[in-house]
Amino acid sequence: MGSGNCAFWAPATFDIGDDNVAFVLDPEGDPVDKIRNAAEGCPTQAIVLS
Amino acid sequence: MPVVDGMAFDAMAQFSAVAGDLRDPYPALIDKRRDEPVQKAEFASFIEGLEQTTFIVHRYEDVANVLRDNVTYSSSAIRQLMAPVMGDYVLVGMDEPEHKRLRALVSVAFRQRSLAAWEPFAQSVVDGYIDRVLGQHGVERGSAELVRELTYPIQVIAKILGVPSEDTAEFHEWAWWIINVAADPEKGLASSAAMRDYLAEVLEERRREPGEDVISDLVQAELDGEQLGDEEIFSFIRLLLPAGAETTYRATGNFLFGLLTNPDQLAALRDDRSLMNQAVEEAIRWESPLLITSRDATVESEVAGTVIPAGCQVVAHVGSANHDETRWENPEVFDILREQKPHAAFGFGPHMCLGMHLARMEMRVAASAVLDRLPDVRLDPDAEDVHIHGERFRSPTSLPVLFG
Repeated sequence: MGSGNCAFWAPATFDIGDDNVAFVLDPEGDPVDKIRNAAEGCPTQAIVLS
Repeated sequence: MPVVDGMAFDAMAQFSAVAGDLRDPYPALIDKRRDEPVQKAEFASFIEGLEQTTFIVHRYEDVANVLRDNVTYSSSAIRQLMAPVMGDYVLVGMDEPEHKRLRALVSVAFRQRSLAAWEPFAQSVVDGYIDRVLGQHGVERGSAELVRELTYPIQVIAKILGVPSEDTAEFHEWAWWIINVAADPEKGLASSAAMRDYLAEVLEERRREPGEDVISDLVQAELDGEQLGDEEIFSFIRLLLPAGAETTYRATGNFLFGLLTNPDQLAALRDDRSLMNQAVEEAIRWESPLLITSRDATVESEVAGTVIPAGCQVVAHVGSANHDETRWENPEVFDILREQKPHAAFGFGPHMCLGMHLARMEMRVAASAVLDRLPDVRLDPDAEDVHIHGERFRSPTSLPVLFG
């Protein structure tokens, strides 16, 4: 849905494309706790950490 | 860009009259989370004459799960409540897949990147207010009442939507009565009709001459190969305008209240502006402007051991969720330095707040301007009984400050 909350919590890891869909900029762009917040903050739980 | 006074309408006086004077709901919520995490209650429905068994969900994880599961917990009751004043196409009252298709028409405008273009405008509005405060007193020694002086989000959302800014005072009043239709249906309906008539002219203008705003996007948008009708566009605007104005001005007031009543944190933020984003998030967690939201149970489900039958109302208590002691240490304390975690104030799931990035930006802009331009800003020590109140919507009664 392109809420952009992932890019808010972990801006060096996620971005929103022109198609309004989130994508990974850099899988290690932010510290792991920020990336965890991005996953937790995703409204549709579209981010799964491995 | 002329900046006009958006506060001819005294929202705070109205707010006190309708919202109730509940000061601190949080102590009672501690007991609820511990002893009765899903509370059964018989409530008169928001819809007149309809009694509905209601289950209030209090714990963070349960609130998150309810709001994420939009199949079990439908938003249709919100449509029933809001349709009379916002029209049938009101995003907050839709379920999937309809909701997703309509939300996509406006979601690009509320992306962080799109909003960056509006930040200078937001700053100019806030600067206009601060100029006026300083013009009255000078920078040497002055006072201000920041709830009234800084109620600016109505102007920003009006600009983004494409509503002429010289009319925002009227819009603020209409917006208030639309969003509070449950408190006074007659005023809500009258305000809705007034806004509709006004918007009809704006729509015509934008069809002739589109600009860079949401109304222009909507008059040009197509859904299944067809352009949106006027009623659909009215629905969008009658939702987005109040939503963008009301909650954000409350959240901004709560944020400033948190800083002013915790001078050490105000000083920390003044000295280190890199704390701004986390300070904003903490303020929204600590005193969420909207405490509860509701859903309809479409099938029987179980939450924290309590069976919720189909057909019942489910209230997700985001205020309680944001004070869940299993997630935050000392949750009652406003602490901008605490470990940052996502909170429930913007909701979860497909209806997660469309305007969250706008709210964050406006709160940041307002607080930055206060810190930058009102030297040594502090709560007036002689001010009487300044506090946050409200049962459903919360914000401070007033924010009398001294500076210089």
